Amino acid sequence: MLSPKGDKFIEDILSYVKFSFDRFAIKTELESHLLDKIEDYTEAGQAEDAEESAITDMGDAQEIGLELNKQHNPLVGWIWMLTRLAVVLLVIVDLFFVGLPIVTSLLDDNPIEDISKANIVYNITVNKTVHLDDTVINFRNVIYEGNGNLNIIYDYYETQFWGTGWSLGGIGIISDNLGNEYFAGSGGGIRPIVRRTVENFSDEADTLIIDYDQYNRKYRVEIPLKGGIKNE
Amino acid sequence: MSRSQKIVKNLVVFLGLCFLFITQTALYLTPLSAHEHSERSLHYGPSEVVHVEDFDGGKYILANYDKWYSCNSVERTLGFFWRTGGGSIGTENDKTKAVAFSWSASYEHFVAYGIINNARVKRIELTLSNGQVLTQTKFYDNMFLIPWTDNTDNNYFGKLKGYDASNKVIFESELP
Repeated sequence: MLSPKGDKFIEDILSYVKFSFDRFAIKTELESHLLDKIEDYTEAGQAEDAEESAITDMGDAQEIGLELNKQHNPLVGWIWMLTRLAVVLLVIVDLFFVGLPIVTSLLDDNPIEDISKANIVYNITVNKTVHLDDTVINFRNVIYEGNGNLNIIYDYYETQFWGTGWSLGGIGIISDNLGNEYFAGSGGGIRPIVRRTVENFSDEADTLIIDYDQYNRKYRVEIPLKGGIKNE
Repeated sequence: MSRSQKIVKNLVVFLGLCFLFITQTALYLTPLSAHEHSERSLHYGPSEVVHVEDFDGGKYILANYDKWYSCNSVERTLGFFWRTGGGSIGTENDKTKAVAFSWSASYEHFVAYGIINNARVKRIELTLSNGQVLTQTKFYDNMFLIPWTDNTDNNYFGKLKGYDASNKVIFESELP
């Protein structure tokens, strides 16, 4: 604990430090330094004028203060504070707008699990990949249910790092080898795995055909059916 | 680490975080860049831009690609960035018609656009559902654009007519 004289010495030094955010740290350091010196003088048997001697050793308050103000330049200090604040704010923004959607999509349920196993007639592992501009679509499974629903399970991702703004819509015209066409809807989302269900799919068809032909982009995927594992 | 070094480190981290934010939230520095990325993500184009027109908060981009024509929109966001707007993609040009056209709406912003297949058409007239008439005589590579704004929810596309130089109607159609 310093005397009022010691406190005033430190306050005098701090009055020259313009960057107020650094004053507390400087004050703590100066107090510690001064107390160490007082302790040294006390141990040397000069307890009575230990503080006076320590202050004298420290030097001129104005000189010390001006030197510290140079080291703790207020302009540099403010730039440092602002850049630090900007980084913290941007981390929060990125976590919300970039991190949260990624985490949400990763934690999303696998749509295959939404299909009751008891209803599955067969489940075929496909693993066929097609490219649509910067989008890679990987057809993973075709699951046929007892009620005639045919589920096409696929995932897709963008090869371009720069976000594109629109998620994958339709995957193409869904048909079978018997010439039947089915409505599969459109729309995507940010889910990494998508389930597209075709209702009343013919149980006599032995090939599922996914045919994309729009705006000079084309792909055709033919998937043999009835080759799966019954009631998997 | 000195304070100057800390500032440099903060700036590098800041720029990295900015890049992550801009790229992953699909922000662009120019309207045409937003338009091109929008088209590519919709698996359309790249189209040839024939005209760019401002509207409040964004731009309409009139373009054609192969046998399709389109009027995409991009919007200004966060002061100086651009993002995709309505996400309009191409409508096939029906060359059997003197005027092939379409229209779209995004909030209170509406736009009718199309392509003129009959060179005799010199003026396009659009009648809105409330009777208001909008006229366009300026064409861009045979394409036209008629924007309007409405926030009353009762001023939709009504009828489109194409006139020749002698004001004779040579094309007339209601909703495409």
